[in-house]
Amino acid sequence: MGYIEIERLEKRFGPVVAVRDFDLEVARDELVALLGPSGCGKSTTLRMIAGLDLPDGGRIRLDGQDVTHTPPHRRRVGMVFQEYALFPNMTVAENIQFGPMIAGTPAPERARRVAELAELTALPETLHRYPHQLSGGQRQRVALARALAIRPRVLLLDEPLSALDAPIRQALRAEIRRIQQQVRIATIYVTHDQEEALALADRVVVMEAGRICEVGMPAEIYHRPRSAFTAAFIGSNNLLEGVVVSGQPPTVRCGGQLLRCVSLDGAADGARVMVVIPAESVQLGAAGAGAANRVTGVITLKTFHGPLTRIELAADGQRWLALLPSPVAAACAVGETVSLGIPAEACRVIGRA
Amino acid sequence: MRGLRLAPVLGGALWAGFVVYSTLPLVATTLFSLSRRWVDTALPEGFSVESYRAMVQEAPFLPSLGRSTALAGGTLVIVATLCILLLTWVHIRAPRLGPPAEVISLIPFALPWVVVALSLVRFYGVLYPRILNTPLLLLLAHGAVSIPFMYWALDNNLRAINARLLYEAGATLGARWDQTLRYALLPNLGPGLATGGMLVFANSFGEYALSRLIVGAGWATLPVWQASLINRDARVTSAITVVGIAVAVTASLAITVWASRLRGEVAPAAGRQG
Repeated sequence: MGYIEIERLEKRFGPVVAVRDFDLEVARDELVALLGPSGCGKSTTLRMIAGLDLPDGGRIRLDGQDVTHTPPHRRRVGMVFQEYALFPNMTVAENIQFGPMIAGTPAPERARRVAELAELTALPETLHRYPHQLSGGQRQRVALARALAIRPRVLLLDEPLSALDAPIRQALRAEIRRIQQQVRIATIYVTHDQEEALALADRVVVMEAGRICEVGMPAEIYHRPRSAFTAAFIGSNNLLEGVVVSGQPPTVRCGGQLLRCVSLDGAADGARVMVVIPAESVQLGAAGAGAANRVTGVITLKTFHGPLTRIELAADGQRWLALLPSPVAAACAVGETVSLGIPAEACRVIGRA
Repeated sequence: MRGLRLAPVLGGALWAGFVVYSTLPLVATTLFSLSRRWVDTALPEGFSVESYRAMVQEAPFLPSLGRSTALAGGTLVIVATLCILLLTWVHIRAPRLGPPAEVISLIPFALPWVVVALSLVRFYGVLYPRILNTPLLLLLAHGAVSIPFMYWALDNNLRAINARLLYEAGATLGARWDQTLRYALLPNLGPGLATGGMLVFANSFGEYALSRLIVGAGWATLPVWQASLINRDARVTSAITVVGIAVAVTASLAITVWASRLRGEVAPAAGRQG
């Protein structure tokens, strides 16, 4: 039994179904990321857990207690918002102790908690400053400390790093993980940034159009996506439609190309399927000479990403992606015809097309 | 480059024009109230405080000044309370009611106040005649016509602080709506309360049409008493105007100072709660 239990949660806004058939359990010290594109229902789900939106169906339990219709101020659920939501009239210390003050915690205990959380979130120098005197990263640390000050049963983070610059985002991401592991609290983290979700979470919930599309460990989701949506949304994958032409060896025809695959996932001869090939598995030139599959195409685009270079190719009417080590990619140019090698182990059939 | 050099000159000219245009009536009224004789010269031929002495000696002066001050203060309290509660609710719980509320809040601006006064008199004459000719009806009428001043100032303020987000943050921290309002929203409404409060107070303090038609001489406010003096002594009337403006400006400054301190007073209180 999970610490947070969500059963068949549903939310509608007029005729639009924002969340449906949402089932999830989160363990007491687990960090789960809800990942999906804008409008997929991840923030709405989080708001229903916080009590800020009421569900139209389903049930939410925290530590065995049904809180589906409990008002937010009685749930003891800490929340960190994307826009910080710090009280502008209060200093950092006053913001942090707001929750305990409302709960009637005595002043000495409040002061002790402020000091402890300021230490935990690396804020001791800023306690007497007002929010407008802080940087974005500092504000989000204050928001985190303030949410933790009520000793919440659950911590909810709604795209907390979206408004920050990339270097601060990366540093704070690591901080959030460290703090969550230190306080050992059930945490749900909403993001549309796959890198953030994969780096932070114990489990990732991929959402599409209000539903859960897939749940898994970050490595599973990244390396072995089970749905076409996940494969398209996470990582850099080649996603090809094809028809099974043989089971021995497993072979799929994608356009004019025959692809040897690792397995057919139970698909029979003639079945229409999707084949996923990670872009980093595609090899160029001699490196891919021994691969089971060979594709010849023309390079249409090259983009430099530091250690890796992303190459797009057109071959047999299909668009192919390859992520190559930059020194390897440096040897080829846009417009050049190249040969790609794709090992059969990299080609996975993931379902019906 | 030439445009850039001209910009400060143009800005200075605009500023000077604004100051002269806005203050000239007050300066002229003040000079006239202090003049001994001012007929065919650019400036008064001599100065005297005689009109102010005469004004103070008039028996209705202090009572009417007191009535106008109390009326403006009461109007401010009613309008501020109504707008704070209504707008907080609209921003937090019923944002869809925002656009219709904005339109409704403009109605007093669309109606001539004489029409408002006559409508109130006829309406209450049928419904509740006991309230006719009372300061209470005048107070409620002033409140109704002053709503737009406070409404728009507070609406912009609540939008600027993202009131709904602050409310939600307060709720997840365990605060009821009234606690969030008290500790997290009200202290941040200083700018809106200052702007709206100044306009409401000054408007109510100097209002004539409603006061004349609803209570008239039975509960004469400063403008009503002042109007009765126009044909008797124009200098005393000018002196009353200057005093009235001085009271309104002083009250407005007091409201601004109070509103700016609001932020600093509630925050430590939040910190002290045990």
